[in-house]
Amino acid sequence: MRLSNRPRKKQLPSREYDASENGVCRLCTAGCGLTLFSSGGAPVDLFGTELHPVNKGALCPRALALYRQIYGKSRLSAPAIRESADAPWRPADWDTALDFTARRMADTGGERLVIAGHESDPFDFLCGADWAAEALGCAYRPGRFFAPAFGRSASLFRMIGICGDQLLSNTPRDWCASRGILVVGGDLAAENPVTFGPLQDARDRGCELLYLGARGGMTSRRATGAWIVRPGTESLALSALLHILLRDNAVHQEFVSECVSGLDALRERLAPYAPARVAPHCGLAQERLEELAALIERLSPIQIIMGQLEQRRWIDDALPALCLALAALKGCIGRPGGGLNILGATPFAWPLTDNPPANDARAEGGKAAPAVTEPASPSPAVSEPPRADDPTDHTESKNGPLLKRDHPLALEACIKAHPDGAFIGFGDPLRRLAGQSARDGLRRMAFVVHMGPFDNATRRLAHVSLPAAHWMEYACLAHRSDGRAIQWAPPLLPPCGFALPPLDIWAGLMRRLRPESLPPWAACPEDAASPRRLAGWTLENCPLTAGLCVDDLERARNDASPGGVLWPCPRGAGETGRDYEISRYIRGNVRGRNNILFTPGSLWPESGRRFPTENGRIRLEEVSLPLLPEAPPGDGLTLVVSGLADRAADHPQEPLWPRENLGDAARLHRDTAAKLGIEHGCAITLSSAAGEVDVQAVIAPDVPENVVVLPPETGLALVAGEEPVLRPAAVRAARRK
Amino acid sequence: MRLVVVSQHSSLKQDALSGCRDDELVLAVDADRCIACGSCALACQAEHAPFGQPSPVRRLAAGIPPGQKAPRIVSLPTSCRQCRTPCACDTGYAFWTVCPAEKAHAVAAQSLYCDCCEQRLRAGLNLACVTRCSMKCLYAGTAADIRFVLEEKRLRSMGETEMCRCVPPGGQDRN
Repeated sequence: MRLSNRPRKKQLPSREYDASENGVCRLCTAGCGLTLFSSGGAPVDLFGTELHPVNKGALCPRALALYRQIYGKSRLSAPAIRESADAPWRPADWDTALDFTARRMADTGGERLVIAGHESDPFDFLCGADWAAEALGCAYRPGRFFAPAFGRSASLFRMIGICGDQLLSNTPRDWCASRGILVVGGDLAAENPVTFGPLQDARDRGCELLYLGARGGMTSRRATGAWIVRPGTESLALSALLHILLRDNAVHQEFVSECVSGLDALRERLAPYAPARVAPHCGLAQERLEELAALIERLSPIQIIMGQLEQRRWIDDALPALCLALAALKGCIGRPGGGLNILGATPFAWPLTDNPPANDARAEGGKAAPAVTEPASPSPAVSEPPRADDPTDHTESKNGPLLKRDHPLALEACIKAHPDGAFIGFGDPLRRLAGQSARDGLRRMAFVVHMGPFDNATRRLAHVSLPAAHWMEYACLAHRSDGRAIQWAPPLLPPCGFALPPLDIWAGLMRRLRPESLPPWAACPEDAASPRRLAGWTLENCPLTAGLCVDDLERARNDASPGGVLWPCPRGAGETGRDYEISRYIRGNVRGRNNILFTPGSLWPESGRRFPTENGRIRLEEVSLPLLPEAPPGDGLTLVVSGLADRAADHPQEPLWPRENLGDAARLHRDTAAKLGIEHGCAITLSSAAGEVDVQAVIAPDVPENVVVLPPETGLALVAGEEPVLRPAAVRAARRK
Repeated sequence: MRLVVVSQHSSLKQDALSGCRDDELVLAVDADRCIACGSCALACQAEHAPFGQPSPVRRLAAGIPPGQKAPRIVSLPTSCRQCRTPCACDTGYAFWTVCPAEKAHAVAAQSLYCDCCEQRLRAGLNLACVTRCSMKCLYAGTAADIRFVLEEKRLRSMGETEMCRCVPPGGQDRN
C-alpha cells in the first residue's frame, strides 16, 4: 500500500458518526477522558478523549472493552427477589422489590444492618449508604473514602496533619521534573497503565525509575532498577533505607532544620534497622539495599509513588509514614518533581466533618498567607492528638482488637456478629472478604441484598437483586484521581433495561423505611436522588473544593480542553474566583507558583506553621516502624495477595485482558515451581490455615523465589482472618491429583 | 507493511529498515515502552467488527530472543486476520508472509493478513492499533517517517538503541 498523505493519529472512528459526547472513565483512579461517538443515537465507537490531559487519547484495554462488558451476559437489567438463597429468582418490578427489601430490613432492625462498601464503589452509593446508615443506625457502614493507612488515625495523619488522600500530590504531568521516581509496591503497569505512561515518559527523559515491592511485574521490568523484596517486608526495606540515609547524614539539611521535627528520636528508633540485619528478612543482599540508598542519596528531587487501586487495602500503617519520612529527609516535599504521591487521591473525607483543619495552608487557596509575627494557634482538630479509638475510623471487633473501618476483617467480624442481620453490598463485596469463614458468615445471614450492575458471587447468596445502572449510564462526580482532578461524568449511555442509579435505589429504600429522613444534600424529598444536588453539596462543603460548583466542572468538560478542575480550589481563590484552577489545568501549568511550599535557599514566610500539625512541622517522631523479627524467615512458600482485581470473576466468558496480566492464576518463580514439581499451566491446589483453592500455575519471571502471587478474588480465601492486619500467609502448594 | 521492533537492550545489529523503499509502510514497536497490555489487539477487534461485538483475534507474543537482556515480553500489536478461525498457537513474525498454520484461506475475512486498516488510512487516520496504543509505543508511517522517529529515539537514549527485526526461534518468548 502506498500512502498519499501522512496518516494522523487522531482518536476518531473510521465509521460514520453524527455526534460525540465526552465522559470520564471510572474503572480505575486515572480519570481518563472517554468520547463516545454515535450515529442516529446508536453508539458506533468509543475512544479516549484526544485533548484530555490525563490520557491524551490513550485508553487501557479495560476501557476499550467497556462496551462489551456493559452489555455482557452477566449484566443485570431487572430486579428479582426470592425467599431463600437456594430458591430460584422471581422477577419483580421495582416497587415490589423495594417493598420486599424494606419489609425484611425493618424486621431485622437497623442495629443489625451491615452495609458493606469500599472506596472504589461509586460515589453515589457511598453517599447513599452514609445517609441510610445515619438514619437507620446500622452496625457497620462504609465509613469514608480512605483506605485505613491514609485515614485520620494513621501515623501519616499524625505526621503531617492531613489525611493521606488529601495530600497535595504532584500530577503525572509534573513527573518529568523528577530526577528519580521510586514506585513502592503494586504493579502500576498492569493495574493502571495510563498513569504508568507518564512514568515511562519521565524515564525516557533521563529520570531514574526505581521499583521497590514484592510484586514485581511489568512495572519492575520497565524500571531502570528493581528491588523485589519478600511480601510484607517493603516497610522493613524502607526502614533500612532511612537508616542508611541517616547514617550517611545524606539528608537535606535546610529542609530538615526548617520543616521537620523529631529527627533525633527517629535516628534512635531506626538504630536496630541496620541493612545487615534487615536484608535477610527482605530476601535481598545487603549490598543491594546499600546500592538503592546510594541511588536515592544522589537523586534529587525524588518522588515516591504509592497507593494504587486495590493495593491500598494491603498497605500497613508503617509504609506511607516511612515514604513520607523519606521524602521529608530528602527535602522533596512541596517541590516540583518531588514529594509523596498517593495515587487515587480525593479531596473528600467522609463524613464531611473530617475535612482538613482550618489552619491548613491549602484552605487559603494554597497561597502564602500574609506573614504573621506569632504562630497561629493550632485548631482544636489538630491540637487534640488522634485517638486510637477514633470512632470515625474504627469499628469494634468481637475478638477485642479495634479494627480499622473498611478493613475486610472489620466487615468480617461484623458479619459474624450479626447472623440474624441484614447485609447490603454494592458490586461483589464477597471477593473482598478474607477467608472461607467470612464467606460462610455471609451465607448464614438472614437477609442479603445485592446492589450492582453484574451477576456475581455475592448475588448468588442474595435474597434481593437490585440492578444498579453502570457508571456510564448515570451522572456522577469523578472525585478520585491520580492527577488531583475533579471531573463531572455525565451519562454516556441510556440505562440498561430497568436498572437504576444507586442513589435512586437508596432514595426508594429510604422513602419506605424512614419517610421523614432527608439526606443533607436535599431540601425536599425529590432532591434526594439528584446527583447534581449531591455533587453540588459535597463540593460546597469541602474546604478544598468550596470554590467550585457542578457548572464549573461541566464547563471544564465541554471546554476545548477537557480535563476537569484541579483541587484545591477553595472559595474566593484568586480574583476570577473559581476558574483560576481550570485555566491552570488547561494551560498545563499544573504546579502553579502557589502550590510550591518550599524553595531551597529561601525561607518561606510561614515556615513555622507550614504543615497543620501541632508544631507546624512534619513530625518524624510519629513514624510507625515495622516489627523486626528476631529470626529470618524460612524458605517456606509465602502468599502475596496482589494483582488486578478487575471484574474477571464477573465476566468469565469475556477475558478482557491477557490472562497473565490479569493474574487470575497463581504466579510462581520457575525455581520454586521446579522445586515443587509444578509446571507452567498445570492445575495446583494451594492450602493454608484458612482454606484451600484450586488454581492454575503460571511461571512468571518477576515473582521472587518462594513466593506465590494470587489476586484478591482467590487469594483472600487463604488469608486467616484473625489478626487485625492482613499479613502474607504461609501456604502449601501441590499438583492437583 | 514492514514490522520493526526497536529496543535499547537488543544486541542485534541488523538494521530492519535497510532495503526499505522510502514510501513503504512500516510499523515500529518501541519494545522499551510496550507493557504487553493488549490494547492493540482489542483495537484491532474493535476496528474489524461491529461496535461492541467480539471478533476473532490472535495475540502474538514475540520479543527479544532468550538469553538477552530485558525486555522479555513484547506483545505484538498484530492480529492475524487471515481467516475466521485464527490460530491458537504462538509463533514468531513469520505470519506476515506465511500463515503459520498453513491454513487454506477459504473463509477469508475482510482481507488476507493484516489489512493495514485500509479504511482508516483512506480516511487519513492512522492504524487502529497505533491510534489506541495505551503506551504510545507504536509508530506507523512510511519508512522515511519511521527513520525519523527512530533517529529521535536514538538521540534521546544517547545512541544506545539498536534497530532489529527479531524473530525469536519458535517465537516462544513469553517469559
